[in-house]
Amino acid sequence: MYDKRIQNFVLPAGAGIVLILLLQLQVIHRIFGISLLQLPLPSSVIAAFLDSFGKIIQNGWATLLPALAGMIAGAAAGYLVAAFATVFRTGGYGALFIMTLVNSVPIVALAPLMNRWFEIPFTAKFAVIAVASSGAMAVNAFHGMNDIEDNALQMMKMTAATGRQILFKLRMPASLPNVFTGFKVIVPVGMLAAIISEYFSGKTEGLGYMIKYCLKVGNMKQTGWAYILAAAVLSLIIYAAVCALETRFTGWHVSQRTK
Amino acid sequence: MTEKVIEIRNLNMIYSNGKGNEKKVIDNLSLDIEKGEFVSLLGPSGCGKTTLLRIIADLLAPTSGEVSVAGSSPREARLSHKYGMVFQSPALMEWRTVLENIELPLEIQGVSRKERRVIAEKQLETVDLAGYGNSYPAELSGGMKQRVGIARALSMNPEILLMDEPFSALDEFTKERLHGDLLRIWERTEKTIVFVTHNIGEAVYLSDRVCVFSSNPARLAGVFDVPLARPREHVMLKTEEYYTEIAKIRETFEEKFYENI
Repeated sequence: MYDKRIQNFVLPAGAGIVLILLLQLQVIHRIFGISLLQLPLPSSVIAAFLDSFGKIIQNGWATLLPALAGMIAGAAAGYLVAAFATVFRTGGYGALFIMTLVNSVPIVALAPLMNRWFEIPFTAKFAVIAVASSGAMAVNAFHGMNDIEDNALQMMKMTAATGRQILFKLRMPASLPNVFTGFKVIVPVGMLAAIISEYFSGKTEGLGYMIKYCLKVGNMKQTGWAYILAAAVLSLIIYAAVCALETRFTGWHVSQRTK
Repeated sequence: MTEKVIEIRNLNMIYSNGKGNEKKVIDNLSLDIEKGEFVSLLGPSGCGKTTLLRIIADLLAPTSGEVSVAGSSPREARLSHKYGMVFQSPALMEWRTVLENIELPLEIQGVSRKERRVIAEKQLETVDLAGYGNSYPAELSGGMKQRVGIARALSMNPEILLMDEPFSALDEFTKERLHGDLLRIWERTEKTIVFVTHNIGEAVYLSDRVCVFSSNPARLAGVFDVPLARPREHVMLKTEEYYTEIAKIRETFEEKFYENI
């Protein structure tokens, strides 16, 4: 019998372990002619991670808090614009268009600019992340609110539902799976925006700043990689949380069915 | 006891694609439907039968002509919940349980939580699904979902049940079972049912009267009273009377029919 656990867990985990082994045994280093300074061994990265654990946690918080706040605020703004565009076609569609337009400005360009607008590092990061997050939610939620079966809309009309009731009882719950898709796009983008913002920030805190700083200093390469590892782990934890919430709240949806 | 509940006078419906192409789907149609009657609108795709149902339901506005429902307009009838509608797809809300789906029209009407639960549970029994109230639509078979759709349509206790090919996506066995269920509900509640179908046997078996529509040009080709006794039983599907009625209806469009599809 075909087992889902093999597909979902054993295969990806196995591939990860093989890759780490290939790195540890320097197979990859030899094939591509990479020095240990360019790509430290997994063991030394983990050692550096444990060594600077306290500082990593401290800087991780400095990144995580504005990242979470920014993602949630951006998602909320995107969702509101999607609802607005659903109810008021003309004006709302314009707002949706502007939002995706702003969203298509590269984060690398936006981050230094916004760092100059906002003095407090939290606010600067928050703003960059929120802007980077809003478009993905707006587009996904708008799709969900408007990809409604004709018969469902007519059924609502037959019960003399008001436009407001159609929005709250039909369109919004129907868009929930798309909201989670939106969040899944937002998590990596938001983390990326947070780290890039810290890269360009004059302030000396956050995972992004530490990655930049450590990779520059000759004997701190492993520590730099430890911060990269921390950023990846943080991103994965948030992503996993989104998936858990998705299963919890959209269990009724086709994509969540296990049978 | 011949009280007219739906009166249709000189109804015309022309679809225009905005480029000067026009298609007349209802041509000067007049038809009365009596209270408590089971009427089928039968015909091939494109004959205007679904359009007619949607005009009655106030989901479409006719090009000209009049429809009156118990003395008021279709719009007033819709807003005062005279209609329950069942669609070809059950159109259930996947995130709501079966009971919550049936409660939806009541919830929209502002009926209290307690009261709507009582009504929904009663309707659930009507369609023989007691015990499935807390299931989600994804856990039900196609036939069960369609029965939930019927229970939802009945929840507001409407005078008129409008059904738009409700069983055409179901397999033959499930369909026959639902025919029985629907007839039983109709006999007990004495509702007026307007039933759109493209299945001649289904129309004959269920209806008091079958309105046969033809397409190209769209017109009402004939109206047939079905003399089969009530209550209808599945054994009637094997009788000569049943086949005679089907044959009569076939004759109305057989000659010209196939070349125009």
